[in-house]
Amino acid sequence: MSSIVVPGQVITAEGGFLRGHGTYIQESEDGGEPQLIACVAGVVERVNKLISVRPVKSRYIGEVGDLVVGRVTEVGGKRWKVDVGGHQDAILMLSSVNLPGGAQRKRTYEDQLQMRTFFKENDLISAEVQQIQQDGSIVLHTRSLKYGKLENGQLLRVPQVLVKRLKQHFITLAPPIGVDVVLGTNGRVWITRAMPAEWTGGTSEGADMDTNVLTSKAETLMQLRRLHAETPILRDERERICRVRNAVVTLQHAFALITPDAIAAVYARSVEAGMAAKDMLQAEALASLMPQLDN
Amino acid sequence: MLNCYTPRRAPPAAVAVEEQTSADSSRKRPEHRGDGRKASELRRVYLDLGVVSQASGSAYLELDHTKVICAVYGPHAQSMDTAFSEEGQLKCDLRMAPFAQPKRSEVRGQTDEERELSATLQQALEASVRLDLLTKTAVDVYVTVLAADGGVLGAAITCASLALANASIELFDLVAACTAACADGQVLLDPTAQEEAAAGGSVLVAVMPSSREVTQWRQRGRLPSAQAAAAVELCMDGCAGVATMMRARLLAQVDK
Repeated sequence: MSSIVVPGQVITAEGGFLRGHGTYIQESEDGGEPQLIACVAGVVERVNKLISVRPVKSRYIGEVGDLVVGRVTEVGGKRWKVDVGGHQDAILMLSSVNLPGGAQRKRTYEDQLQMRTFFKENDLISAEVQQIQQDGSIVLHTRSLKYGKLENGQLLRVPQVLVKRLKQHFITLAPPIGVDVVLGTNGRVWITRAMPAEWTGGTSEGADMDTNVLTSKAETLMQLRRLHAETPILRDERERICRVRNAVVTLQHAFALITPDAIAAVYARSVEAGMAAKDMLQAEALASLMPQLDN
Repeated sequence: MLNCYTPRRAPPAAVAVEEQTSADSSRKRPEHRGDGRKASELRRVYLDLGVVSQASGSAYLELDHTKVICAVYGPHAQSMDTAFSEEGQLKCDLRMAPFAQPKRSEVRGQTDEERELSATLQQALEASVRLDLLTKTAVDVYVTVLAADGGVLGAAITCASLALANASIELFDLVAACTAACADGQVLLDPTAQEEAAAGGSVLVAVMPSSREVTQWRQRGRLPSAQAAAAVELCMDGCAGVATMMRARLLAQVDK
């Protein structure tokens, strides 16, 4: 059973329930059972004894291990502030980023002075939630080669409830599409062209021959990234990125979960219909592309 | 026909206003007020949500010719220029549009009246917001009065509360506010600017409707205690009416 409540509305006056998100308990004045009252407008959800209210839109409340896409707002002494759409800006410590070349050492004063060479204000980055502090502020880290600066692509913001936690958030849509999608759990989606196979194929052999595998891997990956960022995106690649973007927007309009399969399905349907990427968001086109809810 | 938008005629011109007030005082107790309402009748209320796309939450409220729009931003990190507080901060800013009143205002920046209204608005809302959950953050509430025809503060409080709810900020309860004016020994609910000007005193009450807790009570002018009590009672009834409409609008929004 699900019902909709508004702030101040009594959900239940029976005892024995646990207070979840979006609710509070008020002692009744006549000494009866305490009441459970909603404090946001949304849908009541019950899991056994736990009652919570899920609002339609909410700020991002992180969980450890989440992949997020955010924008650097401030470069501080030893940390970056990153806007991830939460209550407060998330914190990315200098000690929790990868140094160039994958070096493992203590961060020195020189590193502090060079923080802007890693990330500067208004850079987009992908990162993982390392820790949630007592007051709800989020601490990030980018200590993996897959995280870091995002360049040469397109950012899209969707309601965060539509991005569920998946096994894989870095998605490469199969070759006919050839587009990389980064699904941030904070509702930010990054879309860019996939690395061409000939780039990765050529360099990985060189990496294997090297003695210091880890270092060279980091270096080659960095080189690849730089190459990717510097190579202009061609017209047909742009069109594919645009089509993927519009496929995600279509899913957003239908309020359907944004998953790799769903994106690929909408993409395929639009290609089948012979639609140009720019026409996908017109009213009639949207209706025909919307995923059917019953299957 | 609840909450349905139909544009209304412009308010009567200044000359007509004078005639009407003199006519009103000659008849001791008119059955109906200038706009055909009974003494205890609210003006037609129109509510809308999500009217400002970039804001976290927003609302628009119309009481006939009083029109108010409110946008809520945040919660976000507290700015450096204010004293740091562990609990959440609620910042309210009310401004009258230059064209809000019949006479165009030429003042630059915020007037004293606007500052006072902002402070009262903040007091009225603060009690309803769960600031304990918004540690180290701030919420900004911006209210713009597009047209002022009486009951501006009440409209601003109601509208801002809806905008907060629309932004999914955790609230103990909604806040509904209502004004009543006393003129010629009669208590008039939700007065227009014309009625407010003619009245000897007025009362504003803001309540959290579920618990019937009063968050703001403002009284102006001279009022005999019996009349003041009657005005508060009338306001409470008016607030209950406004609250019903607020809830209905929020439910409709979530359902969509």
